[in-house]
Amino acid sequence: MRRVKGGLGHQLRAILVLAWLNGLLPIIRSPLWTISTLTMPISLLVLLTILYKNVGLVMGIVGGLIWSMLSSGTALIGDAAYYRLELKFQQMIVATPTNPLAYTVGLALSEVVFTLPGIVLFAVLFTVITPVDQWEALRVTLSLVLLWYSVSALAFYSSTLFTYIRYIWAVASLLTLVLGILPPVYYPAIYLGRMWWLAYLVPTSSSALIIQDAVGVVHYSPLQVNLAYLSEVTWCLLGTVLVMRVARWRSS
Amino acid sequence: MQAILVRGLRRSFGDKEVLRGIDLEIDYGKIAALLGPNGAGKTTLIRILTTELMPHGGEAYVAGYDVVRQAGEVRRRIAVIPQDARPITYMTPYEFVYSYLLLRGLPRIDARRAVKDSLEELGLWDVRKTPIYQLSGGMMRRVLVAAVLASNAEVIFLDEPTVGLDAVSRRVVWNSLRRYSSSGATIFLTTHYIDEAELISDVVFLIDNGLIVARGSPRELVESLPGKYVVEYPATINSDSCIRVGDSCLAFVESLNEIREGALRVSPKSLEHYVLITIKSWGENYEEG
Ligand SMILES: Nc1ncnc2c1ncn2[C@@H]1O[C@H](COP(=O)(O)OP(=O)(O)OP(=O)(O)O)[C@@H](O)[C@H]1O
Ligand SMILES: [Mg+2]
Repeated sequence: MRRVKGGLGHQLRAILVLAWLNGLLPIIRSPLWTISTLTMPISLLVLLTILYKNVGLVMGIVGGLIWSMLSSGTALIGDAAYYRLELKFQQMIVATPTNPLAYTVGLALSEVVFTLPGIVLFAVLFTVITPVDQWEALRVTLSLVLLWYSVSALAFYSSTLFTYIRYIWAVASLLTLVLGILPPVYYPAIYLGRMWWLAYLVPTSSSALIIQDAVGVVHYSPLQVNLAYLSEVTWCLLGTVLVMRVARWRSS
Repeated sequence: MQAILVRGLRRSFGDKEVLRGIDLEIDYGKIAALLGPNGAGKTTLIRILTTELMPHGGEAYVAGYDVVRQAGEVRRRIAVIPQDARPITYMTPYEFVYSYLLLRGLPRIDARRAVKDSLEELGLWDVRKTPIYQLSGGMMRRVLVAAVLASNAEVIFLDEPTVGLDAVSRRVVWNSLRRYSSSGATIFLTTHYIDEAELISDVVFLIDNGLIVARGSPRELVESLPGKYVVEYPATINSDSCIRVGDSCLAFVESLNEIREGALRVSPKSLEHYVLITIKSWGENYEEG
């Protein structure tokens, strides 16, 4: 029989193949679909701009960036569960040299690709409306990458908890509420008053806090900003631990 | 070395023992069929052999490697179509098979050649650019078969691969399976079409309630039945010379002159009759797997 490989090179290629088949292809096949994920953050942007003019516009753009990452996470929950429960695609991939980590990363990357129109839109608005220096741009990017990582890891982990596909849609919209609307993503964390620490409980508002500070729309103390980084990193570590626990393919 | 070697394999779900000590061995280059009633444990066995589910006891080796301790080695050498699997529907057959092969680690040139050969073999070349959601159910199933048969796996597991295929498509699949196994690879499949198992498999395993209750070539098993013909009577008939199976009673006779009043149907003895009288638990497991 012919020999097959399963080394690092193969895993990297597998990640790209998954990003293509679950990210790029669906965008090309039905662009309308990706645009539908943009309706909510754009509505909020318009609403905030009408209500609060310039500040609202900036808050709406910052929120939109966070929202894009969040929606790539909720999409991942759905897709990972769909591939496992409905199509049995994951089970087909188990029986290949592609390892579970590559599968997870590939799907997570595919969701970013799928959310790319939104990310690009808000990134362009961001650079036009809120000129920041390189150092600040770096901070913003870093905090978004950390957010993407933690949200994807948590999403993949939670997708494995489902045994029945129809619960997913309910959970995805619940998560959007709990991670996107309730915490200070679209409003300053200082509005929470003495409860400001609540912002650190979820990675989305920690990330929002960093970006709001970087663009200068809200001013936080250095301690508050550093705590936000700490929270983001903690979520990334927690996410990694959880994914390691489930990314073994085999159910017990 | 056997392609599949299983010793005393056990698995429970909760307090229900689903596999109760499975033993089997299958050589390279063979097509093996696993037959048994709903809930007998076929899918559970395949999930363990494809390293997707943990066994609770016993040993299993696929392509010479332990499915628990050497799962990585096993995974490189096998391919599977799980029960009820479906291809990703917004892709085209070409894209689906091609990306599956890339995920299997085939170089791109080899993959492209294998996709073409496989799609042609399974009669899908003309629809290679049609989105899969526009294909019929049977064609979707053939896309999956095309994918695994385009692979270079040494052992292929197919859990009910021919559900919903028409008579011609089934033959197309059968021919491809035979072609694939003749290169030295092993195919392990489950099916509820007993005529299919009889026609295509070199060896048949009957699983009942988590145990292998019979094994052999289809021919051997059929030969072991008495007589030439099987006459089916209603179960209500008063006779000791027939074997009750569900609502029927099967009588094995040498000649058609022995048919008595009230016979429901008569047919030459077949693997189906062997299975009917060998499985003891018909209708007891009505949970779907
Ligand atoms: N994840 C699970 N949790 C609990 N019970 C399960 C699980 N998977 C299978 N079972 C039970 O194990 C038994 C065997 O199931 P399995 O799917 O292996 O049967 P099968 O032989 O493939 O049946 P079918 O011909 O209907 O596909 C059934 O009673 C089923 O209810
Ligand atoms: Mg089954």
